[in-house]
Amino acid sequence: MQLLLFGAFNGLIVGFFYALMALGLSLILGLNSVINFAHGGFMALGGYLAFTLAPFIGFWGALAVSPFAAAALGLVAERGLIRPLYGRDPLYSLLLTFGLALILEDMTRTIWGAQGVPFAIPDFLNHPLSDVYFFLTGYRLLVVIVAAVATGALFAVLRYTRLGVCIRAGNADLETVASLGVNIYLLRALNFALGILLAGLAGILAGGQLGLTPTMGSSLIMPSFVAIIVGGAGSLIGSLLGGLIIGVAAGVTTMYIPAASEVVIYLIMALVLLIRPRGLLGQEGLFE
Amino acid sequence: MSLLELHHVSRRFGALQALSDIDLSVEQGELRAVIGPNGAGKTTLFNLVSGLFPPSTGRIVFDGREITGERPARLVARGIIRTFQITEIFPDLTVYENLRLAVEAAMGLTFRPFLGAAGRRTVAERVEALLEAVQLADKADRVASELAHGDQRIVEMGITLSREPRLLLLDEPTAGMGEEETAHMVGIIRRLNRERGITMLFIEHDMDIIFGVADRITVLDNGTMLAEGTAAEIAADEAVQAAYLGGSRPGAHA
Amino acid sequence: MSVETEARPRSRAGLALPGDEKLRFAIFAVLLLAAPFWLPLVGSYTDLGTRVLVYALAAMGLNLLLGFTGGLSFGHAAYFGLGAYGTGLMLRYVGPNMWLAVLAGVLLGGVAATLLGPLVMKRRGIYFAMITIAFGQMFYFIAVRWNNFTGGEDGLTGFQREPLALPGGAIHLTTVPFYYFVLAFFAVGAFVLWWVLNSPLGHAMVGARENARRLEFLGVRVERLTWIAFAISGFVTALAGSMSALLNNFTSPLDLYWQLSGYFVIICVLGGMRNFWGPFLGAAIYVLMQDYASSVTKNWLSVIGLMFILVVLFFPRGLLGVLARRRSA
Repeated sequence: MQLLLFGAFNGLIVGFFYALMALGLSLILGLNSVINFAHGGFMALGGYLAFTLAPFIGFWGALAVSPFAAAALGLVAERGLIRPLYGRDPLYSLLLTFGLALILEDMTRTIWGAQGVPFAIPDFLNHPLSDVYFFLTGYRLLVVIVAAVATGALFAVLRYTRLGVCIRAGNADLETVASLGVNIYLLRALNFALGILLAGLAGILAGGQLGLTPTMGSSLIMPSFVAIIVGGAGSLIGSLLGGLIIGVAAGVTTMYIPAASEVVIYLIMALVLLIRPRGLLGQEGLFE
Repeated sequence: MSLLELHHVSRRFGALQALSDIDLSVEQGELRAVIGPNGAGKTTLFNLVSGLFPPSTGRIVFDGREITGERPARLVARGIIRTFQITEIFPDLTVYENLRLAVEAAMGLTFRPFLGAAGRRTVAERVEALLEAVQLADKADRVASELAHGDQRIVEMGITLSREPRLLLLDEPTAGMGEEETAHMVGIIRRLNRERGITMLFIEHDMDIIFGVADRITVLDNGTMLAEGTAAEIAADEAVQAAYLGGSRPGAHA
Repeated sequence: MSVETEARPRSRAGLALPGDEKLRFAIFAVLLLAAPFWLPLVGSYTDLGTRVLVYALAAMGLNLLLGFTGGLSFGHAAYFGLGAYGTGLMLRYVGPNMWLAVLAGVLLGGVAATLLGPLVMKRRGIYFAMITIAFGQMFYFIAVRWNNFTGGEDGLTGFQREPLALPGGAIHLTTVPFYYFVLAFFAVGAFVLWWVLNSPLGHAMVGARENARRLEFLGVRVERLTWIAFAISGFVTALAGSMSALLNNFTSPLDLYWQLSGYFVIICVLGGMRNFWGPFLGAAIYVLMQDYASSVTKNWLSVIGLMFILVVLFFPRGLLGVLARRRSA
């Protein structure tokens, strides 16, 4: 039983990383109509920026600042590279972000080294909170809290701010939003930045848990795609749910059949596609 | 015998009564125009006959057989073929390739692994015949998207003909065409009707075409059938005059 | 009428190539056949030519789906890698028969594509891309985790090219004979693709790319069509993977990795994905670039990443696409 709980909790932590990634990807997929392959690259960047900033502004400062730094870089990429491609064959934005992903990974490796670096977290967070549930450390609890707060904040932004209302409306019908006088180029740019903000946050949290490596982005982005497919395109709650489901499934599987821990998430995806092609909470008629 | 009969056909969308109690019969070989102001229910009528959705009440009979509620693919197999208001062609292919694709699909060759020299010849002959029928032989090697709008509609007509229709539903065949293109299209419609005996139902706004081409005219207004008759009868019909042709209605296409 | 038919230019007369294309194809064929002789003269080497053939075949297989059917597959490394593993595993565990080894690779990759097809077909556009890439990754993890069978992260070793059994005796596949061995399989794969594209099936594939809705109204089931394209494409790319394993006497999970899928796509786009031979040109440039860049810089990823961006921004039609446009203008 404890083994199951251990696996499930581990999985939940990883699931939150997937979910934060998938939420950002989903936002960008919806309004920008772009599969952002570079999402993993920006995630790693968020982690590494925190690593570099932490000696100067401390762990908490880095946690607060570096997602915004990553988002700012995302904004630059959107303006300079992705924006010219709106309205063209989706193949081209795919290829562009693909290229960007390769460059980001390579730059990360060149600047911070191929070996990876440990990202130091405040010492008191390292201790288990309970003798029985040894796996429940302060840091893991922090990951859950921060991820949950960030997700809650995202939904609040989408629900209650003008930006959020425009993003949701734009997902449904971008032309109508444009005809209401909203600057859709700005809207898409901010939406992209919002997605990268979540990726950056995931990068820092994952860095503290798993350490920072140049390839962390490319290994975390695939499960995030799966999370979106499982949860269903067009549904942010679906992406959240999808991330948590595959995270927990992988975590539990690790405890019993370690070798199958990655494969199991693809089996879940296959099952979902077989039974309910649009995903658990996917919108009808989208990409069909 | 009538080729197409509608008996008390109605269709509603929620609170909107799009068509109510339509009785209509089209004879074999007839060229029938359907006219009426925007929102009269013309396209809804086409959608019903082509099976895009079933009528709420009423029966549709084609060639003596009830077809109410049958799916489009089934109706296509029966010979009921339609065109749309938007031009639906294969833009980056040549005219010849457009028609070849249509012929191969119509002959059911798409999923056959082997097509011998004889099969290829049959396809080529059918494509040539189609090119002849729509008078596009001289533009066969042009890329479809580079043709003028009118010629693109004619390519579409050729694709439609590949299915060897018995009843052809044309939704505004000359919309957006210039004078010359319109004349070309009208000529093709006439010839197909006369030489091949294809029965046609077409939605049209241009009065010259309607009165010049149609054997009979059906007038829809507000989802009901206002009048039906020959060109002369319709021109003389007082109800039509009042509601439509007289131009008393703002925005009518007279 | 038949006389008129034959007199018509391209695409109309059926399978025969018109005159100037025949000549160009003949020159191309001679260049390929003579490659082991002229490659050293221009300061290159035969294995580089073999590598071009391998990548070209993989990309041409993908391009049936990408350029001709209009399906954005970003997961073709999976079928390439499965082809490589199928061949490697056969040689290592079963026996030194080259024919069986190639067959095993082609079947493993091709059947996997065929089975996954129906799951992938349900969605279109960018979502199709996401599903293909996600599924592709599944095989990567299987190869990494099934340590004792596949060699895990370090890759599969312990096999090598065996003498090729032919009716007249066995041939030792040293560098130059192996080039011709690959060229022969390349020709088979290219012929299959060319034959498909010139059949009603291929015509319909292009039709699906151009206007899937219209094609459905003509009574063609586009889902089934895409599935067949996906399967054929998978078989051809798997054949390329099999050749790759024999070329390197090695295969690793990187042959299944999603980045390789992206390289195949950019090879198609770079060369011109609307053109049958476009991926070949793309592969030649890619292999030469890789060969050169890896000798001068460690930042190969950035080089190719930059290439992705430059192609998208400045050469979206690809090199042959640009040439074709210039000629017709």
